[in-house]
This record gives sequence, structure tokens and C-alpha cells, in this order.
Amino acid sequence: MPVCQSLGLSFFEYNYAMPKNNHFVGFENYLNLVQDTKFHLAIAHSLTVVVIAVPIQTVISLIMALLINSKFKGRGIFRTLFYAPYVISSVAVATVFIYLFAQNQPVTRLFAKLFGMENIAWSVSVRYALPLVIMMFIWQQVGFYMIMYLSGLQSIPTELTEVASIDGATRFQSFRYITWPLLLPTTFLVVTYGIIASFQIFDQISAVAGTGAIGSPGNALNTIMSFFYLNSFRYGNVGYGSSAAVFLFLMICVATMVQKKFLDKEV
Amino acid sequence: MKKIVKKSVFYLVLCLFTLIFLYPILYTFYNSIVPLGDVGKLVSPSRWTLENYNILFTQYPVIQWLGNTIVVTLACTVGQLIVNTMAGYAIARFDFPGRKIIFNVVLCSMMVPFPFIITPMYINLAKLGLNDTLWAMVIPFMYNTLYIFMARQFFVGMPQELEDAARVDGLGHAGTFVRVMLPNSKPLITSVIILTFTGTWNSYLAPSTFMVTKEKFVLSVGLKTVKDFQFEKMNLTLAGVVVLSLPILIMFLCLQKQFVEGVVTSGIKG
Repeated sequence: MPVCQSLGLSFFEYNYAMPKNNHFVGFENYLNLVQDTKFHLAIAHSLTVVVIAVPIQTVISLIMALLINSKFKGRGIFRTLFYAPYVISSVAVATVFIYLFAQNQPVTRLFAKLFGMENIAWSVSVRYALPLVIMMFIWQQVGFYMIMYLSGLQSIPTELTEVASIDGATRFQSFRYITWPLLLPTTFLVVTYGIIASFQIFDQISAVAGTGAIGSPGNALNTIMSFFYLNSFRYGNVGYGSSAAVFLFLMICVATMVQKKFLDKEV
Repeated sequence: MKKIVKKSVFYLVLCLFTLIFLYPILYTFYNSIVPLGDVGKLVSPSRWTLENYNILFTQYPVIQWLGNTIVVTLACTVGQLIVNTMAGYAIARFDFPGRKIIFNVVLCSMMVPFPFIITPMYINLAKLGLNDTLWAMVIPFMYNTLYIFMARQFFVGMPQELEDAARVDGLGHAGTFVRVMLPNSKPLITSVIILTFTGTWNSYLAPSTFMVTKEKFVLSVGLKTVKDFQFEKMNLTLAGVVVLSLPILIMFLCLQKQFVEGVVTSGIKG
């Protein structure tokens, strides 16, 4: 029901404050959306987040799962530690990261030294705000994907890798030809979840914006999600916002379907 | 020799990850217990203080926010538990017209992202006059199609004989559900409780959209306003972060196994 309503709203000019003026406008919202340069920017930012965050977190979570999956003392403690960020509120994580990357903080100075970044507060910098959000997002999410990979790894019978090592396969070979193909369904899940989640990042963006408009500093965090929110709930332009939300939904659907097609071919 | 190198690389990577994950957590706890002048410096334990927490609880309505959060979280958890298990059971075991359609609707709506429905939700709540009341954070969140699906899968997997035996013993549908099915579905119930509890406690998008009055905020929204307006007082803000995160962290440490299992079941079936 709300789905149809949301779809319907996108064809209206709708405003909470002036219900009398609400009327049907057909595809006008969509036409405006296509021409809105701010929306183009929003798409670019959202895609940047997906393209950067998803591969990185997939690789890191796989590495973490492989580390934890090898037998050593105290692996339970590490698993707990890596998973802990995922259960915390993302507003809390965002707050901590904003301070970690404030001016003159140890972490900011470390990044300045290692990667030649400026020693400034990342959360108010137009250049660094998006990387900051991506970093806090990855930090919080990888534990979740690690658990998914771990359960994938545990479903692989150990005999397979043992036989391979008897046959003289190196660690890397047995990973490349046995573990990795068997983990593909898990990777599919991890990537799909990652795409869906990164399109919908909101809490972190809102926390970084602080008292400013969502998407601040500047337009640096103007993603499809914040564009939709700003129009629907701040500017009162609900119809317009809803058409952006429809767009968001479609992007997620397309991404999932493309992924599925790709995976079907691989397997 | 090669083995030693391999081992040391392994531990090096492990240590690196540990540092990346541990540092922000320790940073938060430490800076929340030092006076403002000592933020970012290592000082002796004699200067540690709980003053930040004291200020937080006396100068801001944190107790009220905490109370709101607890009320909303408990209400949502209980609501989800009742609605989802009953709906899942009905779809799994009752033969009623339109069952297939309903099940398909449940499956499809699992794919709908939450932001997509928040606008209509807001409008409908406004029509009901529930905006800016705690109800707004409870009523729309008393069901979740993913958990209905999980419950349905769980009940389908239960042996039919169990139910037949209950029938023979003279129990009706409600009796079978309450006395036989529920006591046998502990894994399902703990998963739903944990997922809903953490989800509601941490939720920010809906509460920040629906609530206007400061006194009716939940913790996540309220503490974000503290952060926004007291940004220079990092120790105070980080104390707020601890207040927001500690209950969930403690719960996680106590129920680790169930947390992980919940993720695995919801992740794999979702």
C-alpha cells in the first residue's frame, strides 16, 4: 500500500503545508529531475560511494573471515571485536569518526603524513567529507559481511582443501580454485547487500551535516538519498522528492538484477 | 624460515585490523572520562572523572530520551514478536483464500527499501494525528516482512505431527500456536528479538523525521543534537556516544552466539 502511494505521489505536486494546491502533474517531476544538475551530482555521489565502498568492504571482510577462520587461540575475541561496530548505532559511529578526523587529531595527522592529505577537519571539508563517510560506513559494515563469509567458509568441507594440499597445491591455488568458487554465492549476497546499503546511507550523512542542510558541507554529501530527503522533508516538495525515491528504488533493483545475471553466467 | 615469515605476516595483519577496530572504541571511552583540557592527552587515572556524564544527565533531558528509547524499543520488540510469528504461522499452516497472493506480497515488499515508504508513512501518520508522538515510532514498526518470511520458513519446517497431536489433545488453532508452536521456536524468537531490539534502538531516520519536540526524542536523535550544538566539547559528546552504545554493546557481549546466528539466518534467507 505505501509503495503504491509513494509511486503515486511522484506524479503530484504535493506539499504538506498547502494541501489545497496539491494536484496531478503527470511526469513533470521526472522531467524536472532529469534536468536538475543537483540531481546529476547526487547520482554521481551515490555511484561513487557504491563503486568505492562495495569492493573495498567485500575484500576486507573476506580477508578478515579468512584470518579468523584459520585456527589460532583467541579467535573468538577477534571475531567479537570486528563484529562489535555493526551492533552500535551508526549515529554514534559517525560522531566518533567526525572527531577522529578533526583537525590535529592523531588520525588526521597520520593520514596527512602517510597520504599527504591536509591536516583539517574532514567533516567540514568539501573534498574530504565523502571519503570520511565512506570510511565510517566501511568500518561499521565489514564485521557483518565477515560473519556472512565465515558461515560461507564453514560450509566448505575441509577435506577438499586437504586433498588439494596433498596434491601439491599452494595455499593460493587452493583458494583460487576451491574456496573462491564455492564462496561465490556468499560474495553475491555480500555485494548485493553492500550495494543496497550504500545507496541508502543516511544517518552518517545527517550526522556529518550537523545543523546544516543534509548533504552539507557544500554539496559534498548530496546523494540520491539526501536529495530525496531534503526535497521531501525540508523543502516540502514531496512529489519531487518521491520521484527521486522511485529512482533510488529502481537503481537498487537494477543493480541487484545485473548482479544476479552476472553471477548466473559465472556459475 | 618460510613458515616464520608467513606466521609473522599473519599476526601483523591481525594486529593491524585489531588496531583499526580497537582504537576508535578506546578513543571514545577514554576521551569521555577526561576533563576538556585533557582531551587527546594521556593523563594519570587520578584526573579521570565522570563529570561529563554528570553534566549530560543533569543539563540535558537524557534520562527522558533514554526512557523514550526503552519504551519504544520494548513496544516494537513485543509488537514485532506477536505480529510476525502469528502472520508467519498463518501463512505457513492455514489454507485460506488469497494465501499465495499474501505470501507473494510479503516476498516482494522485502525488496522495498525503507526510504521509499517513509514519505507515505509520514503523511499517513499525520492524517492519524500521530506525528510527534511516541506512537509514530511504534505503530509502523510493529511488523517486518523479512521476519514474517523467516517465521513462515521456520513454521513450515516444523513437523506436521506435532500439530496433529495438539489437535487430538483438543487444542484449537490459538491453543496450538501458543502452547505448542511458540515454545518450540526459541531460535526464531531470539533472532526476531535481537534484530528488532538493536534495529529500533539504533534507528535514526524515522525518529528524526517524525519527532519535533525535544522531550520526545529518542537517544540517537537527542544525542545528535547535543553533538551539533556542543561540538567543541568533545568529551561531553563522546560521553553521549557511550550512553547510546553501551547498552547494546553489553547486550551483544552477553548474547554473542545468538547475535551471530541471527545475522546468519536473516542474511542467508533474506
